[in-house]
Amino acid sequence: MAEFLRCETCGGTLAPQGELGLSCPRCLLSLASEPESPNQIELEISDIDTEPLPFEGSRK
Amino acid sequence: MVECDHKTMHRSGPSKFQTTSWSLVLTAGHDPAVDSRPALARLCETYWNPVFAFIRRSGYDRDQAQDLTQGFFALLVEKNFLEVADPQRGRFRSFLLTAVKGFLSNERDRLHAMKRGGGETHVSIDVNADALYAPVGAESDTPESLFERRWALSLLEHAMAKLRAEFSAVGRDRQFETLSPFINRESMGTRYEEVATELGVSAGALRTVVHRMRRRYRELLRAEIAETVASPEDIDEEIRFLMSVLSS
Repeated sequence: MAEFLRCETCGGTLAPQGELGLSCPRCLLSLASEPESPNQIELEISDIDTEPLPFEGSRK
Repeated sequence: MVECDHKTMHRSGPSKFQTTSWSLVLTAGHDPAVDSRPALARLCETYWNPVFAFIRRSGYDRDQAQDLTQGFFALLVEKNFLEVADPQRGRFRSFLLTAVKGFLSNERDRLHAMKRGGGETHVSIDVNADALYAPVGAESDTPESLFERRWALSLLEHAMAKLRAEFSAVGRDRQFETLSPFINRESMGTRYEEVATELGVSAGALRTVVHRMRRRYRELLRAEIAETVASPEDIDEEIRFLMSVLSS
C-alpha cells in the first residue's frame, strides 16, 4: 500500500490524482462549512478588483 | 455526462431551497406520476466511485467490482428500489450504502446457490490495486469507511469539475489551471507573491480572483451536497459528518 501525502495545514490525506490534484480534501470541504467573513467581502469590492490579469484580456 | 442545473440552487438563499435530485427521488418513490430516473441516473453517475470502492473492499477484484457496480446501478435505476427509500432518513448516501449492501448479499446468495447447483463461477485474483481504489484506501478501512471517504472525495471532485467547466465555458482555462491550486488555503502565503510577480500583476489582484474562485467553489460544493440531502437543514450536518470522515 502506498504511503499517502499529508496536508501541511491540517494533516489530512491528500488526493494525488484526479480533479483535486494535490489539494487537501479536508481544507476544501472546510470552505463549504465556513461563513464568508466581512474581510473577504471588503476584498471583493476593493479597487484592486479592477486590475485585469494578463490572461483575462484575450477572452473572445 | 448529464448536466446538473445548479443555477437556481446556488443563487437561492436557505429559505428558497430548490427541489434536489434526492428529494425528487424520494418523492418519486411514493408518487408514481413523477419520473425520477433521470435524477437517479445522474446521482448514480456521480457516486459510482464510492460504490465501486465499497464492493472492491468487500473482497471482489477490480473486474468483478466494476461489473457488480454497473449491475447495481442498472438494477437501481431500472427496478423500483425507490419504494424502500425512507424520506425520514434523508440521506442519499445512507440509502445507497444500504442498497449496495443488500445487493452484495443477494449476489453472494446467488453465487452460493450456483456453487451448490454445480454452476460455474469465475473468480480471478487481482493483487494490484487499481487507480480508482488505491488512492483513498488504507489497510484499516472497512468497506463502509472507504465508501464514506470516497463519497466525500466524489463531492469535492464534482464541485471542482463544475468550477473548471465554468471557467472553460468563458475561455479561462489557463486562469483556472494557474489559480485553482490557490483554492486550497494550504497554498496561500508567499506563493501569491511569487505567482503575481510571474504574471506581472499585483498580489492583491490575484487574491481577489482567487477569492472569487474560492467563493464559487464553496457555492458549488454546497449545491453538490444539497443534491444528496432532503432539506437545507441537513446540509451543514452532512458537512460535519463528511469532515469527520476525512479526519479519520
